[in-house]
Amino acid sequence: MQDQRDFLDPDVLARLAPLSLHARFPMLGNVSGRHRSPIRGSSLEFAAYREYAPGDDLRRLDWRVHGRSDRYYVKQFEADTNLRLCVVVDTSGSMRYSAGGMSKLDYAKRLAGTLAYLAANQGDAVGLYCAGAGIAHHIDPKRNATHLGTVLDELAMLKASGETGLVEALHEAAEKVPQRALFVIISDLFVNPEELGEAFQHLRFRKHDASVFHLLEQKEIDFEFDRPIRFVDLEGGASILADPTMIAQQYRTALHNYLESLTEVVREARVDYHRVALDEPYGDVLARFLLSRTPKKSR
Amino acid sequence: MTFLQPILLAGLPLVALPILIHLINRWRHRKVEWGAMMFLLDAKRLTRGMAKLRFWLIMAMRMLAIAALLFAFARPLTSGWLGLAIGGQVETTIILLDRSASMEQTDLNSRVSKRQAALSQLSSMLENTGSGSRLVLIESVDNVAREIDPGQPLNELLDTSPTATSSDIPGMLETALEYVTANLTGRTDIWICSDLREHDWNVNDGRWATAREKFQPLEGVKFFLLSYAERASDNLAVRIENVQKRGAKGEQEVQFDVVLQREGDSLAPQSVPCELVINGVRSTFNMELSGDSALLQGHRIPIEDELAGGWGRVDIPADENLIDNTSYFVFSDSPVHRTVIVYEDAQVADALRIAATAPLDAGISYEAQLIEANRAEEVELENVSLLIWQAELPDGVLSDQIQAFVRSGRPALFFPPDRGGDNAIFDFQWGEWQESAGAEPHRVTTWRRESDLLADTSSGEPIGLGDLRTDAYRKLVGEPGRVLAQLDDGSPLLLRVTNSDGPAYFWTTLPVWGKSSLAQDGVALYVSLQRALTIGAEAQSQSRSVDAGSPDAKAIENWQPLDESLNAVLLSQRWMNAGAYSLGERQIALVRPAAEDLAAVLDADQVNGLFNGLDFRHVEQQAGSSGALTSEVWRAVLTVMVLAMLMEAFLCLPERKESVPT
Repeated sequence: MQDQRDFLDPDVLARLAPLSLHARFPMLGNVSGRHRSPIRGSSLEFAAYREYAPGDDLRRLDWRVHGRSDRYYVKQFEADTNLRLCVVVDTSGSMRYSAGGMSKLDYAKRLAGTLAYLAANQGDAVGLYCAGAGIAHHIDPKRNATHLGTVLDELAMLKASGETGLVEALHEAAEKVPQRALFVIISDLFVNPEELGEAFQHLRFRKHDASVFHLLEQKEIDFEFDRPIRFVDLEGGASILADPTMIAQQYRTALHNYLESLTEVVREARVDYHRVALDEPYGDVLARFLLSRTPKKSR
Repeated sequence: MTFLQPILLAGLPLVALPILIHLINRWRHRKVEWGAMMFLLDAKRLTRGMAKLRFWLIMAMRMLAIAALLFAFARPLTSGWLGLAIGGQVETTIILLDRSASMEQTDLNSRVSKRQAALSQLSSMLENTGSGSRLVLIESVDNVAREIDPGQPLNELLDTSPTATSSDIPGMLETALEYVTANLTGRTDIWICSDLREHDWNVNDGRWATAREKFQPLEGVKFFLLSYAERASDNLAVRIENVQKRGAKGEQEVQFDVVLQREGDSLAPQSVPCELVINGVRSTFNMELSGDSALLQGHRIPIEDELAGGWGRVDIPADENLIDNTSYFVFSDSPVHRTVIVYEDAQVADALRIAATAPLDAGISYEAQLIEANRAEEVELENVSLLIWQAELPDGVLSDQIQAFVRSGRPALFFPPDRGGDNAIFDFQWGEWQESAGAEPHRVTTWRRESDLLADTSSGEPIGLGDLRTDAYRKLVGEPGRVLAQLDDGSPLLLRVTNSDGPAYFWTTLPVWGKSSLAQDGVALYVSLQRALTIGAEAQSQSRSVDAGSPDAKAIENWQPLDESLNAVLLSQRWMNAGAYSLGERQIALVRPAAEDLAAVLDADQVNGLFNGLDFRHVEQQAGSSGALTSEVWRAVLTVMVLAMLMEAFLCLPERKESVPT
């Protein structure tokens, strides 16, 4: 089993260890952690003043304010809590696509495994959702020590096949995870942007934070072929014989329209969107991702 | 369109190469597992329409480029629709050149005559197409097929120089037919260059039908008519007629008629200055012209008494056709028009005597001597203009004398005797009498109206042979002969012997009641006798006028020019050009045939009718035309290829890539 975790690269893990995974929105954890909570707590981070009410801990009275204003105010502090990281990996047939290097699914495994490791390492709960036709497998987020191994094992066994059920999987996950969580979605997103937008809105409605790694091969963007080709659908649909020189322009137009729609969808849903070319080292992608989420004000 | 390297057209199937490559490419397609099918399906849906059109345009441009390349290598020739008609490898090219005087009509801008334009265009065409083929020239003067060097420009040949003759197009076609059949010329193009003058083409000539009939079964013979029928815009032709030397001693004068013929757009009255030269002495006079012709009749010029004869010339100012601006004439004392009639039937002799002595011209003496058949050996032919023989055909010495008489250019007319028929002359002898025996008399069905004794009058009116009745005629045995008048049963009524060196004729009936109405309807008999008499008198005369290019004109080969300007004319060309020549006391004027001054031309329908059933193309040109009949167009074809390739490249240009939204 250990051999199947080759998607974890110790060098990348070591390089990313200093970086922390942060949620963009307050999380509701059950233990203390690194993430903001909507509930006031006992951290060192000052949050606000509140007028004293009977029953309040007198130790929190700010005597200096009382001396200046003759009123009783209680100091409130931010609560730090842990994070529930839910990694959603698309396992539809199209994730099997490879332009010669690693397949999209392999790339997704690397992203997902590394993120899970980093999250578990900083004491957050990690869960895994595999989106095939609906949710094929899922592991709810937990933060005990052996849970990471379970997640990584599951990742190692993932196979890409069949039609995509990403939208249904996201709806399902949004309902299944009861408390605020960070959803990291790794997919080629070959779905209807409008339907995908609804799924994102659903996640956001449930107070979840969402990030998307959109995996695209450069060849899928350029569509540069020089002779007739029979394109076989990786998701099991019918094959198409086409002369790329005849349809390249139309293909690019369709792709362009799709990406524009997708951009609009993620903007409206306030989803953290990252387009990833598979020829880019995944360590760099993750580093950029982690850095982009680091709060600007140091603690 | 024709090609100088047609073998390369065998590569035309290569035009399908782009489609073939496209199909092979489709057949050898790769398989690719693809995830982004949703865009591919959208692209396929969007591809219907303009993209497909673009694809097929690219294919068409590629095919066009290959086709153009092959066509260019095959060296195409073209000349509009004519290019489509000229095709295949021509083995023999026959040129029928009309060298008549009217072909010298010149374009005033380019100074190129119709004849020169035709020769120039033909030379250019032959240079392009005729390499390796046999080239034969049949020109209208000699009417003989001559093979010529294809490399030599036609305009430089002596046989294509200008003449003052007329043409016999059906005769030239007969010569071409003889050449084609005798030489098995294979694929043959016959080019006829002419200005379509009616008298040259003679559409009513029976030879047209014969030629059509004989050409039709010949495979590979194509006719191309290069016609220059454009009328002159302002041209005058001058002609001298009825020249006579007359007058008593001390009052000698030359009398002649001057005829002006105008061809052009304007018929406004004008005064035409004419320059008259008589024996080298010049004088001028003006002629008033209104309408299309003018006649100055009986113009008289006094001459010295001791002058027995002489020559003259009338010139008018230069215009579109220089050939018809001069007319020569010669004059001398007119001989007595003497006829000898050897007869068997006195009644016949009497009718013939009346016809032969009725004066046609008051200034000429007419005499007739009647000799009975049994005294035929007494006949004296020295000063005789015409011999009429109505008796058993002569034999022995008498026959020789008569043949010598005919060879001297004086006519002999033979009428059938009642009996006998054993003897022969000119390979003819009399057969049996044929009588209608109470049935309807025979009628004349056809007669030669274009020339000879029964030709139409100078005004174009036919001689009335249609009313002539023939109750009895005598069969004529022998050959060859040219039938001048034919009866309804196919037998000849009047026949001209063709194996003699002079004019000899056979009438097959007699001008008496019971035989024919020749005497009662006397016009045909009178006209034919007077014409024969005129021919004989002219042959006798010291001076005579003959048509340039006619067989009689050939006799001047060793004669001396009377006009100094004629020294510049080559010896071999003199007999076909106008001039005045002398040999001892005898003088001859070569004149342009009168019909050459008639401007009537055939229309397109008439021309098409003449070539009906034959592979025929009519190319209408103008004097001064310099455009090539054919030209190589490989440059144009290569340009098409380059344009096709540029178009293909433009269509293949990758469209600007749309930037991918980040």
